[in-house]
Amino acid sequence: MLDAFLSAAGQLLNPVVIGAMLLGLPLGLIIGLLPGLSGITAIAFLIPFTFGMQPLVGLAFLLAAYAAVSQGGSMTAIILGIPGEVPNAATVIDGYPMTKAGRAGEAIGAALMASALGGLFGCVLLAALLPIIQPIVLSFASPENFFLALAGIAFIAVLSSEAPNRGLIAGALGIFLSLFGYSPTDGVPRFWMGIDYMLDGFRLVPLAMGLFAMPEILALMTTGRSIAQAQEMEPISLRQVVKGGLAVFKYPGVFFRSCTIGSVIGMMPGVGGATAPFVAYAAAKQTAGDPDSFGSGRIEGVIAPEASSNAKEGGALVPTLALGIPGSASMALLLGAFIILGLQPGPEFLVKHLDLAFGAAMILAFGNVASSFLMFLLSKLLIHITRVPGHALAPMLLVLVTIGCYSAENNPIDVLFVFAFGGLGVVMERFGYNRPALLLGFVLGEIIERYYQISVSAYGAAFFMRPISITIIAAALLCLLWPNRKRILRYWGYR
Amino acid sequence: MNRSQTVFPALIFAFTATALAVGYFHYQYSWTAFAFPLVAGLVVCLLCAIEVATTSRRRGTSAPRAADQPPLSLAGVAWLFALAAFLYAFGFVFGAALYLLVCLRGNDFSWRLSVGTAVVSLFATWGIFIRVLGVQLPLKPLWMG
Repeated sequence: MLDAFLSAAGQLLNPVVIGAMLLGLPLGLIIGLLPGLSGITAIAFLIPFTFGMQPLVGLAFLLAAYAAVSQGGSMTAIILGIPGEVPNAATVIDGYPMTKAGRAGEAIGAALMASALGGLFGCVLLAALLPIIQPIVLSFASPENFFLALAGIAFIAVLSSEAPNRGLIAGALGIFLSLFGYSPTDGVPRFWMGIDYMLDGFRLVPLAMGLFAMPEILALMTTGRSIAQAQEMEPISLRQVVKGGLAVFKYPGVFFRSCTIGSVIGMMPGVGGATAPFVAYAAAKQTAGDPDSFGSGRIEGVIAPEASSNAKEGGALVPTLALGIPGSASMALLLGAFIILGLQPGPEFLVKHLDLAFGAAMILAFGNVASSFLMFLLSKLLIHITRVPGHALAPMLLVLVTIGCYSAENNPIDVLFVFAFGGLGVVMERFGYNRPALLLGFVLGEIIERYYQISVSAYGAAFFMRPISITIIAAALLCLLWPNRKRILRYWGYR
Repeated sequence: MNRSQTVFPALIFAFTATALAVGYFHYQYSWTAFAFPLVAGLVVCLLCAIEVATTSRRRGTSAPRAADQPPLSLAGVAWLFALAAFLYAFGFVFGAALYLLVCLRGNDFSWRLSVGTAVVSLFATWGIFIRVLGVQLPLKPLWMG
């Protein structure tokens, strides 16, 4: 194994491989900066360029770009309040208020450091688990995925602790909206009202953009003020960014917990990587001393989603490489890219090409660190956007958001839904309904239904009695109840 | 009590209840297809009913809402939705550029900035999205099919 590791390290020092990585990084960053376009777009766009490349060179090109996409997305989330891709929506919650308060540099520093280290964490885990992962991942069947998704749902209550009933309404509405369109097991189209578009239900990208981007754009359009007020504005200095970066080390518990959440969720095929940042955010909020201050610009609220978001990429590569089972849509596309490059991921892959597997982990690690550095250089430019008057910035962002949303599926109806969900987002924001709870419910609702139906069909009504399922239920309950143990014990004693 | 606070949960209640009624009476879904939406929908309705009841009972106090909210202006909303009309009428490439030109001029920015932004938009939509990324943005107005 050590030989394979050293061989991978040696191959990465090849100038062609380094050149491919350096070419992929800026392309990934540009795609990440465009709202609505995600890692899947980056890979789809870049795959044709890899034809005829050596396997490691092609992998270096694709994985470096893929690692850079989420960095671009987190930057727009912090600076503009517009998530570059769906998982970045969790970063908006505290990152954008920090920018409005003139602490953009700190938020960017924390996001970049958390992303880089989170990505490294995921890659180290990937390299460590590759040789032994097969029995672990294969022991996770549909009941375990169902309970993992259900545990994610439980965090809706945590996300909305300041207005519990309104948060629960948002979460339940998200679940309800996710159940429109074809039912996952018997293919019956539900609530489609005779509209072809609705056969596939509501789409995630217009929902996320509408809920998060439109209220901010409307606020800019209404007030005409720039995002950061002049007196609060100071140029991003290295001191500010370093302060934000060091904050990651100040909250090691938040960082490691978020990385673990990201890696585990990323590793589970079918659970959906978009969940990880929200669950990590909710966990950070729940364990904080004053959870009510989350949402007003807490740095842990930036660290948690960013660390988990990048750690999940390493985790998602584990089943893709070790079993040939893609953990997400973008991993499915990456699997296709492996095949185009003449590689067949799966158990045999690890026997024949362990060096390439280690190489992939190292490329991802390099991509995370290098894209953080590039993003830092770019952030000095991007921060000037926050000084542009709202009346000028809002229409530009609006055009970018609508075209980005259209580009996700090439469907003009998506644009209409951006406006429709934008209206919903504005009302929710004004009346204090939790928008991340709705998004989390939407992401998990369909997964829960799918795995519940499969579990009941395959294992019967007692599917929850499987040992790993019971462990997941116990772990979720522990995570939810442990931070409130004093309150529960006090209540118990009072009774 | 702020009456507007009850309107939103009431609307969600109405939307969900209508969808469930249509599913049950009109489409007559099987139990397998309808069970999950039914449970989720009933939970939404129940929570909305609780919210409406508690908000109605709460007199003189305002329910929690995000702070530092600027009041909504009709002009802001109109500018926002105008983009949809422009995209429909002139297509995604020219519609977006025209919208930026009109919107910036309408907000008293200089001709130079407005035209410059519109030209940059043309290059971005045509150059980056269509030529580089291969996105099939509609060039023709949408009403022309």
